[in-house]
Amino acid sequence: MDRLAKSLPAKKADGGRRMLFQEVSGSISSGETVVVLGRSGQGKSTLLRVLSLLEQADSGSVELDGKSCADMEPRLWRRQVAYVSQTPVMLPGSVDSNLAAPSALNGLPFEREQAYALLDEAGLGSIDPGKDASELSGGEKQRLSLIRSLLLKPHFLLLDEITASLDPGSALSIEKLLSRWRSEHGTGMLWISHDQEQAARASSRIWFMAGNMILEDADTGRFFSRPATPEGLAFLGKGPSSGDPGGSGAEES
Amino acid sequence: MSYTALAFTVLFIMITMFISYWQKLGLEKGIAIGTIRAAVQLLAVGYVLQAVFESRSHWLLAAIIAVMIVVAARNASAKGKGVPGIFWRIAAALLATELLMMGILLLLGIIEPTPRYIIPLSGMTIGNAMVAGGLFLTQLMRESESSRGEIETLLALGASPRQAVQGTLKRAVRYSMIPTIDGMKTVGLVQLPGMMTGMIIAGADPVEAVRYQILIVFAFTSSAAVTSMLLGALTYRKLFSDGIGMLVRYGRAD
Repeated sequence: MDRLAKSLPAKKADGGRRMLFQEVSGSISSGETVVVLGRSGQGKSTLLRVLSLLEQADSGSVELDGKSCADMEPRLWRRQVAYVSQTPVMLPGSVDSNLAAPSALNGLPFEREQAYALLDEAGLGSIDPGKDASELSGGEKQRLSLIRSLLLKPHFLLLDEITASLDPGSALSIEKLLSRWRSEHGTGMLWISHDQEQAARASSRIWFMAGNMILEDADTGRFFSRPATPEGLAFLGKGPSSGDPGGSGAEES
Repeated sequence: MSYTALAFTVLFIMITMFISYWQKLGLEKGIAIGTIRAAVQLLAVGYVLQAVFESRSHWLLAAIIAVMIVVAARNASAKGKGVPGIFWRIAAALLATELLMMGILLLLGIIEPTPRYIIPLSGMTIGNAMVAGGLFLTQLMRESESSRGEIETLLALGASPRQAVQGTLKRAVRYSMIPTIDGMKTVGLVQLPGMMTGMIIAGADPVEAVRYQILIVFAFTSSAAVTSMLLGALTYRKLFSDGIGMLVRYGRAD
């Protein structure tokens, strides 16, 4: 039932009125994970911020379950469409009070057991919940911030490079946690990642952003085996334009 | 003090002028304008007060307090540039503070209900509230940018605008109170306040002068606190956009 349709002929004003992205449309069903791929500066993060109503689109509309965000109170929207930012921000206070924040803010009971179980699952079981959250390491903050948002039990998750500062093992356990969460709660996810292997593992569909738009909207398998556009080929490093700086040409004799 | 004696005080200005000329500070023009303005404004106020004290008109009294509030609100609103309706919000906060302060002073019979007491005390209260309000706005603007991450995180977790800025508002109110509280701690030791000094020179008993100074210092703390809090309640919504309730970026060249 969870259909997010979004068309943003968006002319993002960015200092010099640069077009960030436009005519961005797509829809995601409940329980589906779409990974957004693309080079830096395509407006991927801004897209998520627009979807979580932290940034204003110039035009276009966003819907959840057929209800437009314009018709919904922003806080109710944000509760259902939870955004996890790339740089985790800890609220002042302990780990425990950070976990309790979503329920405290929304006047709901705090399910501490569930919160601690998630901490455990994310590999943070050994952390003292009374510890000041600002003293956590970058990777610990990132995981805590994800769990904090999961506790909102949103219909939809917007994830911005949430494993960027994690070691591969921890990143994998986060992927597993999210996949379990998705199958249990039917949460739809839009996930920005720069890790192509992660994208291949975690998603069923890829949005490839290039040239200020979603250039390709394809099944994950198809995108990685046969990208439809030259830009997609180049991005994956198999393109005709083989001058890809990310390639293996770094080895020098 | 006779006008001849007053005329001799121009000597102080001449000393300043001489130093500025000698040290090539280039302040001569500023000093000249400042001297003339200070003399004209203060003499004018003296005559206005004299007239008000004699006329005993309530309307005149109200008009003077209104002018004080408008000038103070204009001054402080420069600190919240870009915030819509900031002037009226500050004016409302100052008016409420003034009414509360005077209400307490007059209802409890702490001061006599005459312009002689009401005007100077109102001026000092409004002036102090203006400084506190200006500091509050400066800090609120700064904090709403530096705490952007925290505010947006709270919003993303389903917080209302009020919940999202609560910490920011609290820090800004605290900041605006610092000079008043510091002043309270050192008053009489570091500096003798102007009002008290004036009363003593004019022939009042020092202990009597101190009693009024205590009144002023205490009234200042509550006027600063009340103004900052009211201003916070009146302005926090303006940190967020109307439609989607996102955090607005003020003070950015767009």
